[in-house]
Amino acid sequence: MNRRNFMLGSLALGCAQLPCALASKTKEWRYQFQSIKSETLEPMTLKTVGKWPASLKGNLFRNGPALFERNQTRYEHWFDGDGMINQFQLEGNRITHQARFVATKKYQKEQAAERFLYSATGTHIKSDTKARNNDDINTANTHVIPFNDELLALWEGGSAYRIDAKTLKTIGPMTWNDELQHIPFSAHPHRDKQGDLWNYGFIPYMQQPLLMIYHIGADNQLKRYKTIKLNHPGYMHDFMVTDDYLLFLNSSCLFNKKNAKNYIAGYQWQENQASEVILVDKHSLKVIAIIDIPPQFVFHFSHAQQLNKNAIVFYAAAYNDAEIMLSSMRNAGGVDPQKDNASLKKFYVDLSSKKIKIENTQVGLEFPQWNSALNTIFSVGYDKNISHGMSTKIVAYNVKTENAESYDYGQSTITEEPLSILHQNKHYLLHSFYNYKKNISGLALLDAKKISDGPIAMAEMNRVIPLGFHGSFVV
Amino acid sequence: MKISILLILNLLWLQSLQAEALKITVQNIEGSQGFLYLSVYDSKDTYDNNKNAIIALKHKAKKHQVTFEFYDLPSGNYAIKVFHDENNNGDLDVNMLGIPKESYGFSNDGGNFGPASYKDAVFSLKNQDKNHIKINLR
Repeated sequence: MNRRNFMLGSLALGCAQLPCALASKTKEWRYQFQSIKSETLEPMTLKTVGKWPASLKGNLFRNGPALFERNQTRYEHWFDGDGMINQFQLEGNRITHQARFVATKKYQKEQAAERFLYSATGTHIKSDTKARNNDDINTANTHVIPFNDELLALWEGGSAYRIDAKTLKTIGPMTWNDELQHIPFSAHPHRDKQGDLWNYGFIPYMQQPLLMIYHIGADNQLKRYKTIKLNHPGYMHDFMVTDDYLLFLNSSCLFNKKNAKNYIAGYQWQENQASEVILVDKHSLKVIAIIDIPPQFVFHFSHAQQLNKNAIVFYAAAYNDAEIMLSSMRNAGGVDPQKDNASLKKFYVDLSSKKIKIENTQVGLEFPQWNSALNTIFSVGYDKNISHGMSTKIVAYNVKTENAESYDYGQSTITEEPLSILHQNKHYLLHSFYNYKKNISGLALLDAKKISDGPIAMAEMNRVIPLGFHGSFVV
Repeated sequence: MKISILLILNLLWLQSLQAEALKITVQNIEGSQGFLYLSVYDSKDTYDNNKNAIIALKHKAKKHQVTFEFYDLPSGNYAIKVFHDENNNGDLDVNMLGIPKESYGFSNDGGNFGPASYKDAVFSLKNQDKNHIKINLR
């Protein structure tokens, strides 16, 4: 997906109150970045069509920023909005939707004040209230995963928030122990084959930039944690886990807190700064290799695989630079959809020579999801010829055959992260979407082996929910 | 000419010895439990090292705000640190990276992504009409 253009919608909506030529051009599809004013969206039944498997039951939980305005002030950056958990409950062809904001400390204080109190991740707010620590501006808006019988709403700069999976009510921040309180817990934890959960926290604003590594057992109890010093504070949003290693990409988008009015404003793309691939031994938690590669900017990795004792391959949706985060997500100018999209890159790591070979597949995609059973990376994709430049496709890239196929919903349907579902030995893909011609949100289900045939079933509702980031399907 | 310079020097000397009043209001206090710890420093060195504060006091916390008044301070540059010891353990509670869990503040409300530097927190005490410092706890 072209996330850079994706943000034009958000920014154009911001322009609704400002002189901005883009506002009129993007009028039809900007509504997906409107704020939800109420704390909850009450249950609504979707209209279904097609062949929803009768025995398919479960919940699609999705998280995303859904509140961008208070008291005539609008956030400038897509990352800033308060997180809302959406729940699509599936029982065959009966599908209902409901949603609730995560009651973070920030959300509750600002609800009571009826205005923004804190400078957000990417917006400076004039206020007497300053953040005590990173959790004061925690929006819990990026991902939602199942954890025990609850959910965790995740952000990348602070604590996870515990959510009641039945009511979507917020239980409170997840504190692993006293000394870890408020330390970042990223929005992309990963489970390994043993069921252990791994995560990291990226802490670039200390005198020495740090990573906090978290190892949580299959029983969901914290096993180990350790800080690792970084050579430079390069933005990190995701990481990878293999049988023996944790892999991090220390990007070339560097943080400097000097004069930074907000977190995003502290970052600069440094084209002369090599990026680093950092390998950490899962067993000892020691750094075993740091390998320089040409400057990279990545939000999301698909996966990493150990091919043999000395070889690892990993795949990432990689950008040419960090413009998408630093500029396009906050500024409607200067977008070039032909030039600045993420494409799937393959990184071949030779541990004996400590070298990495990089291949660009030229397949444009974002929000990659790895399905190991099908050797396929599923994602959203886009059509460069569509003027709004947003994701309208679902893409499947087979890493064995190196073939990509896709289904394009057409200009008016914006596709979101597709998730794999294995049901009665059949692989499906489930994703949400927004159709700006009909002004509806909904779900689509595809046969994962026949992506190009398009959806086998769809569901839609006369309710628009803001575009989100990530989610989980929970049976 | 010589006389004029001496006169100016003498005036400056007298000014530096002038006693000043300082009023400090600590705002945004979330509750009345515990104590406020307030320290006033008169140099970068003492500020950076949290040592030899010219004023160091502990005062019962009060929800919303507490005001302190001091008299007979020499004119000069000062910087203030304050924290709210909510659980009354005598310390500002922090996590393993030193990030505070309890509320704190600095003169000029300085500091982003970390404590205010002396440069951010320093203020000049020389005009009695403007000697009211407001610190918003965060």
